[in-house]
Amino acid sequence: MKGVHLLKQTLETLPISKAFLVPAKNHLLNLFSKELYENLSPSFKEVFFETGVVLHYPGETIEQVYFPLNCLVSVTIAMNNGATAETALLGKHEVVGINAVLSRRPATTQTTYMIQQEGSALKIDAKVLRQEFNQSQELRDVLLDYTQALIAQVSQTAACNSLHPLEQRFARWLLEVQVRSESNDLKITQEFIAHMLGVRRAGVTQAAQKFKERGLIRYGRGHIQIIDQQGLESSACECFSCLRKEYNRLLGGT
Amino acid sequence: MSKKIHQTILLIESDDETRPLLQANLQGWGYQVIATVDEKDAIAHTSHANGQIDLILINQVGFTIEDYINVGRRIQRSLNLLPTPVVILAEGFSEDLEGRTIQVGKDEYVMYMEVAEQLITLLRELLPR
Repeated sequence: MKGVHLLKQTLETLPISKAFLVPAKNHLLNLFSKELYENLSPSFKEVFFETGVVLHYPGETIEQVYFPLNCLVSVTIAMNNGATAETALLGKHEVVGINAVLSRRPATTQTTYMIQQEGSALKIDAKVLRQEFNQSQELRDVLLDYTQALIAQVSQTAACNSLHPLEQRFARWLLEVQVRSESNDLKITQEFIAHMLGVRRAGVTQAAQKFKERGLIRYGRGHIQIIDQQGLESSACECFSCLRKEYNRLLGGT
Repeated sequence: MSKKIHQTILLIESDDETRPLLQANLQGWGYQVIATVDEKDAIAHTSHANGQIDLILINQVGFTIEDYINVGRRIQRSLNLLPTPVVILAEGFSEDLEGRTIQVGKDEYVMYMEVAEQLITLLRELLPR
């Protein structure tokens, strides 16, 4: 049986906090059959992360895999001169640390995984998930489809960063965050956005002002509110809708 | 003598992505903008301006605030400008400075910009109409 199955009755048997008595909010977990979920559920532990927590530093072995429920994770690369840029944004449509499942070697990456917006995730030991991955065709199907979606996101971001102007990339980034946080009110600083887009702070501030003057967003210290969804989508490059289509094709309605 | 309609801002911004955004917003707020990439370019582009620069706006990238204050002073000397306000937009500052503008000399200001309105407010103070 597919679909939302993480119901109260099931959860009462799970070693996770009683606060999590709601349907799973991670889209990939919702794609699991009841049987698959029940196989894995004893190994899941709900964890809460505050903004700014780093889940993985470059070169570290990935020991845990996280299915975000309502937190957002930025995957970033830092250059030798300290400049950073985001290469992927992970939330309730994604899983953090997929490398550990796919590789037979101790998994690591050159990237940093940092909590961009606080919230919860379901944590599972990477070895346990890999073991199940090797045994379950269903889990392989879901996670390999997801891996394709992640490759699509990284590819789209690479092209977007080199081909599209800051204003369009900024609009797209806001929409990507909005989709994952399911909120129009984004708790985010302009300094942080500048790091994620790999641009100067002043550029983000000026782009935000343009959007504000056009009635697309409101902003204040540490937050941005989207007030004209359609207008913001029109201001974004094609990458937002292109990636949505690819996610929908691979993972169903997101 | 004809009345000056637009006040002119000399913008020095080396980043090709940020410069057009800053220029467009400044123009939208009613200023004439001479957009340049560095000190040399600024002097070359304004040598014909006959002192008609009302404010110098510099985005701090790579060098210290003091370096940029000196850039502002050298430009004023090169162009024989009357004392002209110099505003430096700081980059990479700590959260406690966010939203502050600090006067560091008679006509020199460092802005730790949080939102663009902060810049509009300072420009209107320094360039009353």
